[in-house]
Amino acid sequence: MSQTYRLNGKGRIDRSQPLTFTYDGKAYTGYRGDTLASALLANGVKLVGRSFKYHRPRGIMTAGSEEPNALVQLGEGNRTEPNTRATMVELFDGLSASSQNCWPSVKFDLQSINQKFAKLFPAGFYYKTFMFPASWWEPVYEKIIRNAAGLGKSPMERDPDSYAQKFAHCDVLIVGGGPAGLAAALAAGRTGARVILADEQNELGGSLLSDDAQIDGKLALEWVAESLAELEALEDVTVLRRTTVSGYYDYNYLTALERVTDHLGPQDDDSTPRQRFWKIRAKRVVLAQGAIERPLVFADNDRPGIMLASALRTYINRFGVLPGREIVVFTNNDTAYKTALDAKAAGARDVTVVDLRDDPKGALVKAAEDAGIRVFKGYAVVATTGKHAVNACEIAKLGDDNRTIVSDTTALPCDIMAHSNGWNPTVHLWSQARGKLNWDEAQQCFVPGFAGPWKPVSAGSGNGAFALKDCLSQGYATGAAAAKAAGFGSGDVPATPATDDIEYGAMRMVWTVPGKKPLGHGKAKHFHDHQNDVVASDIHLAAREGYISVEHLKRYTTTGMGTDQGKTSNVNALAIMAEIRNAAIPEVGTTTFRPPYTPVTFGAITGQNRNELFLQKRTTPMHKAHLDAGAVFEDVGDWKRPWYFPKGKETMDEAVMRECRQVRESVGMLDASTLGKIDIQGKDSAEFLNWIYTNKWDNLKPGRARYGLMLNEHGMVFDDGVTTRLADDHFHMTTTTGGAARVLGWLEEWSQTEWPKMDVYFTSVTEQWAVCTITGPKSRALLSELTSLDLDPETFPFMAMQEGTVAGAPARVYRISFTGDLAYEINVPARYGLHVWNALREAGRKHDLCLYGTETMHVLRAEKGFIIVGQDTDGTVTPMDLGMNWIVSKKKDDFLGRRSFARSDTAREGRKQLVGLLTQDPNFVLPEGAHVVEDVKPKPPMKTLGHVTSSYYSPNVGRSIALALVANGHNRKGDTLSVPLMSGRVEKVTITDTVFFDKEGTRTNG
Amino acid sequence: MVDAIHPGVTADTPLTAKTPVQIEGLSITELPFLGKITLRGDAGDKGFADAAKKVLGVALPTAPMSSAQKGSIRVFWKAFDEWLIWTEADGQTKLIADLRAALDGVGKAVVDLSDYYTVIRVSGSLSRDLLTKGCALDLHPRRFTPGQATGTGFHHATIFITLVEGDTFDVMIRWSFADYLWDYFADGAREWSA
Repeated sequence: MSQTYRLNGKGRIDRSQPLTFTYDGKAYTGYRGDTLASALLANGVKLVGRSFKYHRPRGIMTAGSEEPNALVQLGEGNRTEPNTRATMVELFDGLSASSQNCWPSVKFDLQSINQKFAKLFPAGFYYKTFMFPASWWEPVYEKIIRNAAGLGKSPMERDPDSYAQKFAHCDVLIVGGGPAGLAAALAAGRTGARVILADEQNELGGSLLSDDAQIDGKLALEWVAESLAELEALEDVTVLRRTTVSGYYDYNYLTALERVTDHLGPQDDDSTPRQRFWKIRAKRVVLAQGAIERPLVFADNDRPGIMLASALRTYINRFGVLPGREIVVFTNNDTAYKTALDAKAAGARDVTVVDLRDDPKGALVKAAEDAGIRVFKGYAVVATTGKHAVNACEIAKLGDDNRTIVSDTTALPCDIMAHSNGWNPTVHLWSQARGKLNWDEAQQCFVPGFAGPWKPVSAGSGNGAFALKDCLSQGYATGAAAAKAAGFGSGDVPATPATDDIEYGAMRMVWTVPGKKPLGHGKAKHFHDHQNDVVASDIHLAAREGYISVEHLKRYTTTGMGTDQGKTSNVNALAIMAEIRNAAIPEVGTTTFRPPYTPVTFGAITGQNRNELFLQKRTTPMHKAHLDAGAVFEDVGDWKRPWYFPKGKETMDEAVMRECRQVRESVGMLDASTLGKIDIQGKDSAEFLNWIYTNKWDNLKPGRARYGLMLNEHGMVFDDGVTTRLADDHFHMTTTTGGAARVLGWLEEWSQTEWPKMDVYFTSVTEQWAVCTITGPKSRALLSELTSLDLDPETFPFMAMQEGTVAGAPARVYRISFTGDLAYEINVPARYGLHVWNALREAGRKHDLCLYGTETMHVLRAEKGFIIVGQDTDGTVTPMDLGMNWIVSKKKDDFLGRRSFARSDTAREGRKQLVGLLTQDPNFVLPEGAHVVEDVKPKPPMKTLGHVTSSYYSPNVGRSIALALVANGHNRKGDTLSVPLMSGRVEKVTITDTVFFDKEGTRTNG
Repeated sequence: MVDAIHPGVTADTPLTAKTPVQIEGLSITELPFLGKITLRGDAGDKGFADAAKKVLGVALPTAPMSSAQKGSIRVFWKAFDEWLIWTEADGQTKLIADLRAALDGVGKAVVDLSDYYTVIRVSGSLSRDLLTKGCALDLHPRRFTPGQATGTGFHHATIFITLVEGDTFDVMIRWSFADYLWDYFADGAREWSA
């Protein structure tokens, strides 16, 4: 069987490009220009999957992005994609797809037994069935439900494709490239405005692709081609095909998914992105998305072979596929007659129209009858039959009450059924943009009403203007107006060309077409939501149980959920609820329309932001040397800092112990480049620092450095660092690595809001300087080999800075120390960082230089009791709590945070204070965060006095050391307290001073 | 490279190891060691403005996003009291000294940021297509004109971008983010490299 249902000479497919594909393992052929759906129908495949809840056989219901039924698993392995709509998958050679939600096969699906027990699965059955016991919900019920329901399978491997993002701006964005969208683009584009026209199909034209309408006496598609040629010649017009605008966000920010290579199939290399995610900022937006046909809700309306009338027409005209021989068209309106006429003209053996209306009067009705099409007037389809595809329907005369049938039934054999219940304008984006909807009583549909705050305009069928003439005129008008509003053109509207529109007769609304038995009785099901398997009787049940609000109805029945977001089901559901409540449809209202309009892949949203580009790795100028030296890195913010430098097979502990010893014995070198640095200039700099820091700065001499603590308004320490006076009006401040940006913001805030008259400017210079810190008794000897500076302690004392050269590079050398040992922090412009590091390393060989990382830095500073803000403090710690009263100036009238010292809680006795802890077992290292208690109880809770903030094994002290914040700690020195641990161990600790090593502080001089 | 000012000293940029991207319609190269200076001061203070103009050869621009150029010196408005000055490679030392001397006694800050950042030049007919993969700014020739400049973002990086002329953009990036931004550009250019 090869494309038995393909029509000769019809359609927009390219017969010179035959393509082979497989579905459920079976090979078929189709053509370039086919969708998977049209190719399957051409090959006589109607059954494509099983439904979500009842596992009923399902086929292709639509020909567009609204498809609720024909969801397939596309591709295999790492490229497999679940829930793709067969109607939107363009066929490519080698395409492979399979049906979903069925096992072992789509024709014989074990879970179709659910149909037999349908009475057990009414709406809301999850909430009723899986209630007790509550503890079973996650471990038991959720697994059962997920296994039984759900649709396709997610890929389990890495996605081999690449994706891209694109930021775009335009004056006018037009969504939809049908007649209205094209007209809008022409009117806007001709003004010179920047226009983006996005359409989700592979070619522009929208409904005209499936139609034989005429514009200006020619086939409308000729007008489409001419329009497109004109648009593409305009420099500032961008036409995006295969691009679905998925979301409409604040201030005309819209997102769109462009499927760049999907229609070509998997690519050998990933240099071309598979999809591109557009983020578009538009001055004005024209929504011309057209309309979606509404299904009729009748008994067993879900069998494969039953599709929307417009879909059948599209398959015939656009794809050259007449998927059946005997066709029944069931309708409440005139538009479906076009389908009947086209099917007849395409050679269908038998075409019958079942029209709900007793006396339809439109011109198309007459044309159908003239063409020899049987028309049953005032009849309804009350049943369908057929196991894997429809094979007949039964019709009967409909009573005036719309609820009863008033004749015997007649069977009509058919292999395709098409139906139409009118049209719904596509108002999703309009609503996402907070636009209101009005109910159009004459056309029985929601149409755009009051526009949202960003004032999009709607044109054509999407605006409820279904006639081609109106689509064109509204397109021209909105395009011209949007361009003018964006500052282009005079707003003159191009003349609308002549069209061949036909007047349509009125519709007959029968929101639930009666079956042979009352609704909910017997086996027949009236589906209104095909994707979620929700039937009309479920709405009745919801109403009976009190869920009459539309939002409750949605949650209770799942109507409108799923990947199609109820494009074909929502209005029917509302109308049925309105009937039940005896209310007008607009009274029932609509649920919220949410982005995305159609599913968007995570890959596209992620774009290039994956692998190495997922997160920046900030590195210092010496990074290459660290890599060469085998450093293990620690993440400090975004920075990669050397953590330790293992030699051979050393463990981290072994490496850190060695580094700690070697620094104090000879000399060590640390990359301190990440330290925050702020250049401060202006004649009021010293006065400003007096305010910012707790100690005095106006008395600091140029060339000298001082340690400072910064407090917030509450008097709590929030950063620390050494600041150096370079000149009377020039300071160099250092901050913690993580606090650099916060401190700069803090300085700017006070400068700008409280002291704008001060002459002081702050500039971050963090990355201008690379910093090699050398420390240890041999650091002076090492530096002396490479510098022009006189390192004599008399001329270059502790807490001084000198400028000179180091290894030939210009340098500022600061004699400051975070280890307590003799130390020099060598700052050079970043370009020389690697050079100076390498030179020091080379010269350091004979001084037994050791490279050390952040871990050793932490141990060494803890040996000296130097705090790390953010580790030993937590935003609730004052300088006095730290035992640093010496740094709080008594001579200054005021400084930031000082006033809070008088607060009762800040001033009280017994606050948590920083102390040292020595464990009873000198080899035991306390875990940081462990609590310190006085009275140990068998288990928590017990009264805690504080916690361990820093804890290490110190090879230089020869035992473990720890810092802790302990209530009234300064008065507890010598006391023994306990640290109970998770393991059950209780370690006795003695409260000590915070300085564990070189208490006299003699080592700073080398 | 061996440093011009300090013989025997090797100087690097964060992009020393990168190979420029040169494909049809797109060129991505580093402009290494451009002199970069921040100048702060009160534009309304005639003493400040005149002295700055004398040294720079051009008046300080005062309109947001604007810049002024004289020879190799480009002066960008960054804030009402802040300018970014670019000068030729290694030209910053003399320029800073000249500015400090000319502005002696005037409230100001002159800070050398030559090594804090580097500059990546992106040029060619595809330059806007590349930059809009991560930059949300409107770079259309009508909206972003030669000499205009601004700080903005490129995914996780903070950049400072200016249109030199035509399709040529200069993008300033912090040293520690240069690798990330370069790799992002190079990855983004792959779709045109075939």
